[in-house]
Amino acid sequence: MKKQLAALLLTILCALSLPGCGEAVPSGEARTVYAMDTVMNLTVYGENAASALEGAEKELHTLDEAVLSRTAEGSELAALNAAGGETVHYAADDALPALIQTALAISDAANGAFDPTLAPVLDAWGFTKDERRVPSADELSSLLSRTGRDKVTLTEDADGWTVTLLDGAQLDLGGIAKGYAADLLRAQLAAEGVASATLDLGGDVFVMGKKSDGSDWRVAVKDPADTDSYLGILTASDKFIVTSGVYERYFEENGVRYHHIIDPATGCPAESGLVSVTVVCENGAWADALSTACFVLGTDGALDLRASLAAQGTDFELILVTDDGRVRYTGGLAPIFTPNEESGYSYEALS
Amino acid sequence: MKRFPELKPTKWDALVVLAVVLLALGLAARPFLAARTADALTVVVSIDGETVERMPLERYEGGSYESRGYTVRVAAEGGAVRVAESDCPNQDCVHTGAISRAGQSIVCLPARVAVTLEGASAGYDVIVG
Amino acid sequence: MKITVRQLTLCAVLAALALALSYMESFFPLALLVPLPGVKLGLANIVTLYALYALGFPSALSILLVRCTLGALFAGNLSALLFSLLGGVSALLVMALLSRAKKLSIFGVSVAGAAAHNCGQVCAAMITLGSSAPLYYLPFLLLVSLFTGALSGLVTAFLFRAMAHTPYGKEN
Repeated sequence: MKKQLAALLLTILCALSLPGCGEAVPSGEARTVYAMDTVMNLTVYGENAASALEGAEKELHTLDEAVLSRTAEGSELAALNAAGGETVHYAADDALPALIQTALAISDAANGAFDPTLAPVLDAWGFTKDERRVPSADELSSLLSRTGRDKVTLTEDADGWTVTLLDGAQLDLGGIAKGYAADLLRAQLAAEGVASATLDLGGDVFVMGKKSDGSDWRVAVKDPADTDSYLGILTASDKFIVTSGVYERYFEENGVRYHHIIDPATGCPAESGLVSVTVVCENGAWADALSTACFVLGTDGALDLRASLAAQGTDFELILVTDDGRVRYTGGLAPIFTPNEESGYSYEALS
Repeated sequence: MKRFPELKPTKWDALVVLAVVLLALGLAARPFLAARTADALTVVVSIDGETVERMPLERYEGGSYESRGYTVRVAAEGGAVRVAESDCPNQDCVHTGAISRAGQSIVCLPARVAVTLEGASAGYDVIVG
Repeated sequence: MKITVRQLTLCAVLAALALALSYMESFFPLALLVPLPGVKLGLANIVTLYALYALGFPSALSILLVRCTLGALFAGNLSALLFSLLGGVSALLVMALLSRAKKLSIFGVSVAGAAAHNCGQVCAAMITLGSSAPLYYLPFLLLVSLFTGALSGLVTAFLFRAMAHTPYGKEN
């Protein structure tokens, strides 16, 4: 009788214990930065982590406000767009013209599937200012006449650069800026002696070095149909991984869904049969721009682009998810991509 | 006199003492045990990068967060969290849907409100997409 | 329930005694010895313990409720009511259960009561704060309750001996 009572007592007292907070053990230093119209999560490991993070945050804000923003006062890009066709000169080591050069190179390689001059069209759809609407066909065709890579003249000489925007062209570098920022941060972190980090700049991921246990980073790729699940895991080190997908940034009007990846040829959201494209590459700016271009091009166009760039010495790998439930990935990913068998997709490794 | 107590300590009293000691030890060990269960997800809500709420997912009942002129209402049900409603202009946070795994997060950009799930390694370190 | 005037008077006296004990123990600098929030000697449990054996559960409960309510009123602090109620009622329930165990002495019952009192107060703290942080103090409070419980048990034992010549201290 007494033992039962003691047991009862113990039970009552234990029942008063509520489950406690399980503290997740944080490893490395992490910081959340809001810049470039998106949210960025930086995690840096090692001795200089804290100061490296400080520097990274500053760099992001500087890039955003002083160079790449279309709206910030004093931003170089805003000034260029406002120059009204006048030629602007830049110093040899200036960031903006170098980035424009990269954007144009990718635009050429992709035959215009990536276009940094889409600013007027993006504004018309309202994605820039969060006032989303469907522009009329007339509006779009008149705006499209102002776009096109050929309206940007960029030359480089001994003193620096000159850039001219013709025929009312306006630049929007949103499709390449985050990747470019990731390139810069990578160099900056390396210069500060950081050997291990993960950068998530608005969904553009860069994994630097290895984890603290020496293994490669594991990057999960979201499943477009169920954002609580994932398509598979990529194990990578020193790679940029960027996904373009249509399942988060969209609006609906009259029962039609409009997403934010605009096809430069039509001025409307791209309909290429793809739901999501993931690019794995060693350069951030290229990874960023290529994911957009490949989405616009569709499966065949993307694979052709990959082949032609490979011939020129630029390599990248692809994961393509089509709207008929198939996931295809290029051969280079076979050793590092582990499909999620429970996702319900059919997976196919390409050569 | 309802009941007269035994006034001298007995050896059974030692059992009570033992029970109390065991309870104390059990409670002291609790934080270490909780952190090891694979299901121990922690919800972290941050506004503009600053954490405003951090608690186990199983105890989280959602919340309403105001920031930069917007109100974001987070709901928690069935081991997952999602943004139930928000008065932000783009509704991307609502479109994100529910998350239930470590490392996932939902962000309302205009409000700079982020809801993240932290927890034991779930087979990946970072999510792209 | 039939209650005699003698019982009623005794209840009132015990309630006053419990109030006085609560007040008095605040002068004892236990916090210097044991730097824990909410640590105290718990002398009012002596009354609860005595009343439980001498008068039975219903009377002990009434005394407890009166003591808590008046205590909170006199202190001018209504939130203290939650703490003393949860602590006191937890202690009373546990002691009532264990007092039926003939093999346990008043010491065992008292220690269990002190432990339960601490648990109840920590619960009150968690409700007030809305977090489980107070649980981190409980292991230490429980260890202290081994001593405060033994102390209360000792004093109550002396009380019974002193009352041995009255109807409320005699062995049946």
